[in-house]
Formats: sequence, C-alpha cells, structure tokens
Amino acid sequence: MTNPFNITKAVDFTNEEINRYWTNINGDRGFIEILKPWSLMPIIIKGSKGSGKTHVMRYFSYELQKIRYGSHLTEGLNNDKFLGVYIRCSGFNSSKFTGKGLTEEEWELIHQSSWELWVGDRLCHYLSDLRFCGALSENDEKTIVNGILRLLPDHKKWDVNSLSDISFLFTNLLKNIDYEIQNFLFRDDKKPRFELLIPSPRLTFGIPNLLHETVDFFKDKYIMYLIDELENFSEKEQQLIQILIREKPTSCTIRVGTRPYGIRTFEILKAIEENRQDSEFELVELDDILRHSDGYEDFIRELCSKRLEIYGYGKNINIEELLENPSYDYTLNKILKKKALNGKGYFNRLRFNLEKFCVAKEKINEILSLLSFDNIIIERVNVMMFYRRWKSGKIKDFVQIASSIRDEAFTYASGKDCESEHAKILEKYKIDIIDILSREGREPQPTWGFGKFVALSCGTPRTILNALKHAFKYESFNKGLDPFREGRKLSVEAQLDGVRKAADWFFQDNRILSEQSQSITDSLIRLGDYLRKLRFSDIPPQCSINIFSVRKEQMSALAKMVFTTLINHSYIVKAGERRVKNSQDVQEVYQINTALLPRWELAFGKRGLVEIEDVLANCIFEPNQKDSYEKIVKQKMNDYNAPFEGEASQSIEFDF
Amino acid sequence: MNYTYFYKHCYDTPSDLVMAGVYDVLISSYSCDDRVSQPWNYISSQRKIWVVNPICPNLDKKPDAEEYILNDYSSYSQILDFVDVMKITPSMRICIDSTGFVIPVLYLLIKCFQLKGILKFDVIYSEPQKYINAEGTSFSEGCYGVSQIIGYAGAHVPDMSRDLLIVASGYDDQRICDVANEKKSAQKVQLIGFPSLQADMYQENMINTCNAESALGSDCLEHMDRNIFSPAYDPFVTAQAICEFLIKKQAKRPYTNIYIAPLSSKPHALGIALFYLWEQGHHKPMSVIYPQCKNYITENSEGIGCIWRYEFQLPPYKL
Repeated sequence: MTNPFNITKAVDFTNEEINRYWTNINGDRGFIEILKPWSLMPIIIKGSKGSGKTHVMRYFSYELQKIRYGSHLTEGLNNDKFLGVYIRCSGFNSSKFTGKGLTEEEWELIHQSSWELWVGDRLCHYLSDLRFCGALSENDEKTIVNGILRLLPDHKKWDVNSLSDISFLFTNLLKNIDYEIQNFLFRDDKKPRFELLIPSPRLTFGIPNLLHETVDFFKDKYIMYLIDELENFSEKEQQLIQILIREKPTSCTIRVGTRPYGIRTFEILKAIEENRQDSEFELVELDDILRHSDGYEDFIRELCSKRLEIYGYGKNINIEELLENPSYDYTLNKILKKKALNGKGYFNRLRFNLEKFCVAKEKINEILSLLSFDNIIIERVNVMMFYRRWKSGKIKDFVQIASSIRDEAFTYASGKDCESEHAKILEKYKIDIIDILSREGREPQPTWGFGKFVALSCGTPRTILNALKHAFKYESFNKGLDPFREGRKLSVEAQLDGVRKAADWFFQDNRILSEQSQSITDSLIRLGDYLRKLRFSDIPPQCSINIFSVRKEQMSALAKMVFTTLINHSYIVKAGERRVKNSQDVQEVYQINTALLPRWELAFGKRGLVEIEDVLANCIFEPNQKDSYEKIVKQKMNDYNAPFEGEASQSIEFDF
Repeated sequence: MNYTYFYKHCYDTPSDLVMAGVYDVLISSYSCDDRVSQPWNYISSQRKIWVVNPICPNLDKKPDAEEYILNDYSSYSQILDFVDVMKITPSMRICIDSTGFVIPVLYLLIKCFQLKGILKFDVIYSEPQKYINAEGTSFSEGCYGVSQIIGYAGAHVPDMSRDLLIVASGYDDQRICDVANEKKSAQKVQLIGFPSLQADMYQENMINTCNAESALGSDCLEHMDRNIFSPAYDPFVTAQAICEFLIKKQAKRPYTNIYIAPLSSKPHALGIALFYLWEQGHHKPMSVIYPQCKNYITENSEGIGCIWRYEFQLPPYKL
C-alpha cells in the first residue's frame, strides 16, 4: 500500500514526476501568468517553504520542456519562444567564497567566474542536447563553439570542437576553481592558482547574445534563466544577480526564486545603485497569491485528484469525499457522553471561581442549577453571559443574574429571538463556543474536513500534502487497510493526527538558522500562548481570536527584528488591513500561520482583531522577556477571567 | 583498499589504557566529563596537551598540563598552526583522545597531521554508558548555517541531477534537518550506527531520526535496507561500508556530487574522515558538511563504557 501523498517536496520529484504531477491553478493562465515566460522583464518570486516555487520554476526548465514536447521538441520550443536554464544556488556551496586570507575583490572575481562557468556549462549542455535532437545543425554548432571561444580570454589555447567539448571544458575549469579555493591554504605559499577567471556577465549574456545574433533557431527565442534558492547566496553574491537583473540584454531574461527572507540586497556591485521593484524587476509573492486566490481550493482539489489517479484510485476523485466530515454534533455528543465531571468543565470552573469569590456553597449550587440547560450550547452561552454580567457589576446578586439568564435562555430556545443576547452571542461566537466546549471537555478542536485542511495550508500546498500524508499513514497503520479503497474514508482521528503532525512538521522544517533561533521561536510561543489565553478566557474580548495588530514603529529594535524574522520565515503572515477604531488610520493585521493554529487551538476564521499594546508587544517579541511577559499577561487576564479583580481590571464593552 | 584491515583495541576500563604503552604526546580536548578526564589520567605519555575552548565550563578543574587555546572553532588557521606551535613531529608516538573534541576541530587536526606528514597515530574514544536525557539529549544549539569542513571539501560540478547526501544520523534530529535541508535536491541515505554503543541507543537514535523524516524524505525511513549500517564504535568498518555502498551504487551511473554529514557517533565521524582522506576526496566532487552552531555540547553523558584505541594510518597528502 503506497501513500499517494508521500512525496511532498518538488526536489524529491524526478523531472518526469514534475511533469506528471503538474497542476495549474485556475484563473487567467494560472502559474504561467505568475512566471510570465513571454515577458522579458525579470521577475523575483518570493515564496515560503512549500509554496511551490521550485515546482513552478522547474516546470519551465529545459528538462521539462523536453519531456513535455517529446519528439516535437523543436515545435514546442518554437511555440514557447524560450529555453529554460534552471540553476540551483545551493549547488555553489557559497560559504566557501570568503576569508582564507583573500580580499573581497579577489573573492568577487572568483565567485563571478564560478557563476559564469556554471551557467556556461549548463547552457552548453542544453545546446549540445539540442544539437543531438536535430534542432541545431552542424554549422550552428561550429558557429556557437567559435563564438563562445572568442568570449574566453586566451581562447586559442582551448582545443574544443563541439558543444559537449565546451561543456566539458567549463566543468573542468569550474572544478579547478573549486579545487583551488578549497586547497590553496595547504600550499606553502598559500596562493591559489586558477587556470581561468571570467568576469560576469561574459558568458551569462554573451552566449544568449551570440545565439540570438548568429543562430537561426534562436533568432526569435531567448534564454530564460531560472535562478532558484537565492537565499543560499550571501549579500555580496546576490549583488551579482542584481547586476544581471539590471543589465540583461533582450536575448535573455531572468526569474529568481527565493524564500521571503532570502533577498539580502537589491544593490548592484559596489553599491552604486539599487534595483527597484516595477522598474528593474517585478516581484511576485507566491504564497500571498495562492492564499487569496479564488482558485486555490480547486487547485488543491485537482492536486490531490491527480495524485490519487496516478496511484490507481481512479480518475477525477474528489478528495473532499474521502475525508470524513461530521458536523459539530460529533464533538458535542462525545462531550455529552463523558461523565459530568469531565464533560462540563465550564461548570467546574465556574464553581471554582465563585468559591474563590467566597460565594456560599448552596448559592453556587443554585446558580449552576439555574444556568443548566438541555442544550449544551445554550448552556455554555448561559455561563458566558453570567461572567459578562458578573464583570459589568451592574447587578451584584449572582442568583438573580443566573435566574434572569435562565429566563432569557428559555425565551430564546422557544422562539430563537434574533435580538436576544443569546442570539447575538451565538451569531458571533458559535464556533468559539464549540471550540471552548471541546477544550473544556478534553476533546480535540474540530479540525477535519477538506475545508479546514485548505484553511490550514495558508496558501502553502506542502502543508496540506503533509497533513494528508500523515493522516493516510495513521489510518493505514491502525487499520491495516487502504484508507481510500472500498468506500472507506479518512477518519476524524486520522485527520486530527495529520493536522497535529503537519504543525510539528512546520515547526521542525521551518526552523530559523540563527544563533538566536530558540529565542525567536520562544517569541512565537508567547504570542500563541497569549492569543490562546484570550480566546479561552471567561469572557473572550473578541470572537474567533486569530488575527492581531501591533505598532511596529513603536517596537524596540530587537522586538522589531524578531517580529520581522518571524514574518520572513512565514511563522506570522500578513492578513490584510483593518481600520483603527475611532480613527481614519488603517493598520496592518497579522496572523500566526494557519498551519500552527491548532497548536494553540486558535480559530481559523479571521474575525476578531486583538490589538497588542506596545509594552506587551515588546515583552512578547524581545528575547529573554519571559518574566515580564508573564507579569503583564497575568495582570491583563484579570480583565477577562473571573473574579475580574486586580489593578488592571477595566470595564469592557462587547460588540458581541 | 580494505579499511577493516586497520587495527583497533578495546579496553574495559580506563585503567587498562596503560597497556597501550607510552606515548610521546597525548592530545585531548578538555571537558570535565569522566570520559575525558579518566583516560587522561591513565594514558602514559611524555607530554600531555589540552586543546582548550575558552568558554568550556569548569576550566578551573582542568589538570595542569600544556595548553593550546582555541579562540573559536572556525579559526582553522589556529588549528593548522597547532603542529608547528606544539612542535609535534612524525617521529613521535602520538595519541589523540577524540572523545572531547568537536567534529570540525578534530577533522582539521587530522588533516593537519596529514599535511605535516604525521601519518600514523592512535585515536582513543570512550563510549558513554548512557546519555543524560536519553533520546532528548542535546548535542548542539543555535545552528546558523551548514558548510563544508575545511580540508574536506572537494571540487563540485554544476550537474546536480544525481547528487547524494549521506547523513550519519545521530540523536540530533534538528541538525539532521539542517543538513538535509541544505542539500534538499540530493538523494538522502542514512548511515546508521548498528550495533549501537549501548543496546538501547539504537532505539533512541531511531526515535530522533524519525523526527527528521520531512527533511530526509520518507524513502530512507520506510526502506531501511537502502541505508548504510555500520557499528557505531568502529570507524574502519564505517569507512569500508561507505566505500562498498558507493562502489555498488555507482556501478551503473556515478553520483554527480557527494556530501557526507557526520552527525552520529565519534567513531562514525572518524571513519568518514578516514574514508575521505584515503579516497582523496578533495580531488573529487565530494565534501564533508557540518552544521555551524553557537555551541556544541560535549558534557551530556554518564558513565564510561568500553574504551577504544584505533591505530590510524593516513595516505600522504597529494595536492
């Protein structure tokens, strides 16, 4: 039994698999519209881990063009009008281009040479293949070989006659550079001896220009450099790429793929100038596009359907139908089945709070009895209303409060009066009530069904693939049966396990490579903890707590750095803008990545905004502020938790 | 080349180390762990040299002896100067106690020996009886990058279509993720310590390795037979196992670039170093990569198991 969701990363796919599993997103031309291969304007594609940028970039590489068009390669390339050259920056092992007693200028030339030879090798390799496939003639090959030799210093000394000879030459020259960089320290004179150094962009632009001017096949085509994993280059090395973006001729264009934190500079070499968005390049934020795309859900459906088809489950299978998706009654029934002690934790807590407030035992029993109701949801709303009225302090008699709530509950239950407080609370807080009941009843938050999985993925297809992978694994391991065959579905338990493991995966896989990684992650944990505390307080200040705002300009430098790092690593994502209350200003709103929301049992919908004050924001995001954070939060929670006492306790106005 | 021909000796207690004979120089990296301090006491040597990390705790308890202070682990030039500064020559009978060394420093020291023509020396390793937090034991913190180890970096090629990463998987699943993510396009194969140093360490190891599944890929966890197994205490069998694996797998088609990450036991790391140096990896598209961390934790075990003495021989260095 093979898990159809086992492979979750594009790098684990062969080229054939990339082609086979390729799924486009609806809307205009989908990913083609994002990459715009017809446009000569360079594009930088920012995408978090698992957003699909490598998948998209590889799709446009020559290797995939060749698979796509098969024996009609020439026609296919004529149609495409470009040849995709895919380059992975991680292959350069670029940490070697530093130190060892050489100057910055020396390293600049060495790095440029490595780049030129790398690009030259790849390009000649593809051209050699085109020659082999018959797209280029023998004359073309001679022209190209001679033209490339003229681009090299001391070209006469190279004995090369074919494109594969040139590719081989470039590989050897590159190996020479690599070898010298790694071993010159072990010479007595500690000096490197390079066979050849080539400044940029001699070959990067020289070869496309040569092809465009002298080879018929390329007269109407250009080279598209697909430079992936830019985050592996240092700032200095990225200046080279910025120069290529700025100075590229019409015979080629550039697409750069990078993580959000991966762009270290837009400056060109020696910081003379800086490239600007929409002037020298376009910027595409891939996960943002996916997150807000109307076609995203269908795209995920199609992605899953394709996998299921390839693994023999049949054509056009709708993954939504393979996931159990019971209503909230499933959770509520489980809670009700539990003994009263565990099932109605809210009454235990209310009893505890009233005891803390020195209310007599008999009165407490009377209060709980008055608040009890046949319908568990209305019962829980009763408790919430009780806390609200306790907090407001308008009526001091708790029994009276409970009694009037009981009357209102009956009125609501009999007629479902839309204007009643019960109705208004349920309109805004129903999901929260169910999640609260789940938590209090020690049941997992209802995180199942295709809709929830899509919401969980936060615009990152890999998240949902991970969740499905683990859910499939859980089900097949526990039942020993294929979860999708013979009418079976992925159970709720399997889906919950998948969601949990996807959250763990996100944390593990998205780890920030930094000496301060632990303290940066601790900040995120504090943020999640604070939002959870608010959400599950006795009187949550907002419904569906999930989004928050901070005043970045008021944060300390350290807090801002941590906050920005969390955004760049997609632990926190931008969630739009909201108007500031009683003001004309608009503020940016943020959200913890939805893949992590189950970790803190936060809501999925974006509704109630939590405004985090400056002092608290600094405590959350500055490293080593655990004690200050705990002190401030403890004071703050007095506003939301019975008995609502303490210095910071203030009145709260609910907009329901 | 059959690496299993190299000699190794096993001692039950530190006091048995006197049977190793008298050395001219013993080099050890200071740590207050018993696994470092006890062999230090029992190995007979004319000179004993501590390689010291200034931020190491309990430096005041360090027994008096010659010292070579390393200002930071990335200072390769300090390590390269070690042999000249400490006046160590090929004619000496030399012993390195590898137990307290961090991998990059140990690797560079061995390379340094090769460069200076010191081609025969003994390496000691003391097994732990247990790690203090079992599978939860930390070995490093604050990783800020992954890079090639100086002296163990080859000449790589642009064709990355069949790259290979061999991860000697240890307890540190986060570091496994870091190296696997660094070489994400490479095919991953694990080097697993089996038999392990102690009976339960294999299970503890596998628990942690499974945490790194998303980075390693399901293949090398679901198909365990595709991995390399070698005893966690034997560098020579390790070197041989890697060699045989590569010969077999490259029979039809060579790998384009090979990376090896020594993240498991010290003997595994020694085996990888031995393999690399004998295979002249610096002339090939082959490198050893290692995570760069703010702190490597060496004091994380209890008790002393067996103590091994490996008789290392290196090939002469060919530039």
